[in-house]
Amino acid sequence: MKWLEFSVGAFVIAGFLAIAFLALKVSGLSFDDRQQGYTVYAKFSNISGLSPRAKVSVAGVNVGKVVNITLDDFDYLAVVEMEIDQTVDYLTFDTIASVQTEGVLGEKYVALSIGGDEELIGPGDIIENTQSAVVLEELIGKVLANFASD
Amino acid sequence: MLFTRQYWHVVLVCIFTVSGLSPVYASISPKKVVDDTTAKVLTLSKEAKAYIDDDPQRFYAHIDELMNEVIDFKGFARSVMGKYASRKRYDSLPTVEDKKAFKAQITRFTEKFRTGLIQTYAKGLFAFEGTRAETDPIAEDYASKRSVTVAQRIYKNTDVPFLLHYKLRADKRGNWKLRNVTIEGINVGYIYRSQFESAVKEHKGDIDKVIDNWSSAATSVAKAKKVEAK
Repeated sequence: MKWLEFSVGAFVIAGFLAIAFLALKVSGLSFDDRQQGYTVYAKFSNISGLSPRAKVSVAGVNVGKVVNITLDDFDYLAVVEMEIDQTVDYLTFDTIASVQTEGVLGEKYVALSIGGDEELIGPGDIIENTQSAVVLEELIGKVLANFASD
Repeated sequence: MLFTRQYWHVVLVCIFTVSGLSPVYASISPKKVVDDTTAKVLTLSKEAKAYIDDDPQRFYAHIDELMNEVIDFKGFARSVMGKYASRKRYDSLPTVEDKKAFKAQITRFTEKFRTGLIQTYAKGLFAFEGTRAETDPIAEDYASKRSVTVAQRIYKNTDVPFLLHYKLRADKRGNWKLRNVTIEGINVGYIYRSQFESAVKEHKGDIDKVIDNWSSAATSVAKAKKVEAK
């Protein structure tokens, strides 16, 4: 009888562990906090729902993640801190960072479009060349303003 | 001993000359570059009303002259070409001839891009009829940065301004040159880069063909805008 109780207990614990593992995997959390890449920053006028741990990609391939998001108190721009994989050592100075959406209702991520500049981006550099998220309300506002002025 | 002292004098003079030179160049702040150019452009487009119907080329020539001083066309064009103008691609080319052809492509595209941009910009500018512009202050530590963004609001006849963000970068001599511009949140360089990439796909990877057809692409944009304006 004892072995039955023991196995039920073990099964429940295994179930909880599986749920915890799934939750960690889905949320992208990791206990492995070792710095494996270098940090670069990008300034956006609107990030529209981008959050820490969001993907950073080049041509759809994951090359890093968003570590932190702060607000620049001088020009009120969102400063996105990204950790880029050490192997991606070819980001040019004219790289354009844009906030995009995965699918129609998917998560926001940062897409990097690499340019042709001679100079490369190094640790701590800021990408000023960005394309912010398109906000539907702003677009509608502009269309209405155009109609009003015509 | 005397020689050593003299030698140090020379070294010190050199250091002061070099360090003294760069602030002279850097003293024209990115904000002032934007302000001065905008003022000149607004004056030019006002004056152009009198002659543009008879002699549009005269207006283009004035804008061209002005823009040559403040836009880093080569840098801008390379940014538009993106990966097709990258150092990696250049290094991977096997022969000297290939490398020469690569450089020639960049030079040729810079010229095409310059002509297209000036024409599109001049036409757009004239049609826009901006009346005044306000430029936001920039952070004082701009001299220590490699690139700076300057925000500006241009007013037409209404009170609703158009928001522009100029991306400037210091060249080797410390002069701030325009590298890209964002108009109402739309990154112009990004659009041109996408346009270049689509053209490469369309021409099955033939960069020379893309460059040959580029000016017509810019003209078609201008034509479309003209039709729209009518």
